[in-house]
Amino acid sequence: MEEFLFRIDEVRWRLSMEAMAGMKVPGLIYADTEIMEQALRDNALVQVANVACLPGIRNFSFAMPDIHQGYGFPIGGVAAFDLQEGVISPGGVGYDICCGVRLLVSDIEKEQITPVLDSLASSIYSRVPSGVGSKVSAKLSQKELQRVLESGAVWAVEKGMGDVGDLDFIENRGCYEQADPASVSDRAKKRGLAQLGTLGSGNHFLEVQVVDRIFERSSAAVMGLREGAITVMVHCGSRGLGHQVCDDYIRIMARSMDHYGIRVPDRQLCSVPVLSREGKDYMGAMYSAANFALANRQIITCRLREVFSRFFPGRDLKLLYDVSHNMAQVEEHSFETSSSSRVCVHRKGATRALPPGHPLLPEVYRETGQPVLVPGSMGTASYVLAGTARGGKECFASTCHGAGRIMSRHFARKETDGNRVRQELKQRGIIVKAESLSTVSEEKPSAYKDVERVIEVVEKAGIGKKIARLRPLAVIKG
Amino acid sequence: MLNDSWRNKIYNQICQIDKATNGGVDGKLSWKEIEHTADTGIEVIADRIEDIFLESAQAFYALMSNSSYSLNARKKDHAISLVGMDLGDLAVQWLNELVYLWETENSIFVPNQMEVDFQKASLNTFGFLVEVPDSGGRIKAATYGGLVMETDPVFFLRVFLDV
Repeated sequence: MEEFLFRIDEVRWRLSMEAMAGMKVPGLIYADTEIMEQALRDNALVQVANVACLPGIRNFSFAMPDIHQGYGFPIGGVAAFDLQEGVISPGGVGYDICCGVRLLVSDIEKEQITPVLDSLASSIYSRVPSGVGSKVSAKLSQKELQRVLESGAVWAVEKGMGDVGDLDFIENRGCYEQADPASVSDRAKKRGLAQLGTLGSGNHFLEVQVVDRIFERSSAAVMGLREGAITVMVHCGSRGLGHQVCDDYIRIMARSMDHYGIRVPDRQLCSVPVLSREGKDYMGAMYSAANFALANRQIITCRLREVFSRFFPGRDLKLLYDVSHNMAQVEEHSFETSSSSRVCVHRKGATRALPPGHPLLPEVYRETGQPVLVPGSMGTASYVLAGTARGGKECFASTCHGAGRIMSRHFARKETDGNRVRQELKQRGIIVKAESLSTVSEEKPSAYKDVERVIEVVEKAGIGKKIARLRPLAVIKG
Repeated sequence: MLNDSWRNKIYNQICQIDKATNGGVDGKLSWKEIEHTADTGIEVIADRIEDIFLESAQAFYALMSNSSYSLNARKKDHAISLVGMDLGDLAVQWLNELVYLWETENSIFVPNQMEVDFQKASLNTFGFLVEVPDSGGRIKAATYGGLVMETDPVFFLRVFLDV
């Protein structure tokens, strides 16, 4: 792959169409030298090339600077497909459909939280179930699950789990109306029944943070971010339900691709025309799983607010924004060859970042651009960015989603045990509460890229603007 | 029929397997964990096609959780029938079936009998479910990414697991 890479500028690389037979567009990778060296060590660039082979792809097969090997698309992969001639692929969304991040802001100061931080973290840990397969004590009924899949966070708010005002600060106002629960299999529903309101495991987490530095004061003020104030970040997705939807439709599409004359270089990239029956069914199921994820994050927020209200009565946790980083959405974008076109934008481990003035933004963020929430690894900083006009034009209003892994879980466990990681973080003033010490060692900071580098690339590329940096105080993991 | 000594080998000795390096029991390498940037994977070698599925299940449960299982916690009889596009697809479906049973039945599957039809890419097995401690598990799905299933000169499976 390396011989087909050409550096455009300090943070952009072009992967030429000669890299692989069948590429319809080049690749465009956002990376500095070190990030590119890391990307060359696994299969990520081959996956960028594979995506470029899919029918109807427009402009480029993109990869954000948190790029690493995924299934089908690389993590950090972005690709847009013509609605008439293009495809939709579960491999471009991911197993954890609508995995995403939300950030809650407060006026609680760090000095106020320090004396109670350990108790607060323990309370959060016991109030929010975590771990793969973790379950809530009361299962949903089938009827309620149906409502969740139809209505997402709106369902949760109607049940008293949050304010109506929260919905303004969730993508699509908390509900993907295109959801079709009938397209979700019984197996997927059964997996989801007992998992709503749970965190999950792996790289999912809750984090109590402090605003460490403000880069852009006026936007930060609009977002409610103030240096020294406490924030809480939530990272989770659609749990077993989303995973099952992905698995179901990979098998459906693998069996129906031939009918549409589609061949893919990687079975995980199986796809069908966007407007085919199978494509529409997948979208209906994907949006249903997305609604499950939005409801999930809303319920977890409700529980966080309950815990905080016990420690800090009368103090709010306000929702700054909720973003998803594993989704495919039909969007309107401008092209050189036409005034605008509707395309199906796949973002796999990449975040939508709407530019200032975009009509889908809540009024309060029309001038700042969309908040983008970028978690670092456990123990490192997270960032709040804003969407930019350049990103809106260049890469379908997309940006990075996190730090991106550089070390396998197997190697991470071998290198350091979870207890030692926890102790090291404690020495740095970071409390870790975790279901599994294996997960703690797998998720240690050195297993990930340096998030500072990822953010720097994004900012230099002009596809995201730094607003604030957040430092972790307590991490709760599954 | 699969006998008790097989069952003991597969399920009672899971905790004794050195998960940090390789799998296998009594020093014999039947499976090992392999590197993946974000998740994990397994490679399985066997002389019989059925053993690919049995050993991959062993690997799956070893990686899924640190819990130990008691075969006395038997819940109910259970049968699994799967048909794949090919043997690789069948293997992914098999492991995903185990994920499904773990999450929805809180159980591991212990087979008494298994038959794999090479030509039809079909699997039929019956056995029973054993309750597991409700402590969650790591694996969320078996994937098709990087999937390899070879049948000659030995049976070989490589599959990556979403964690």
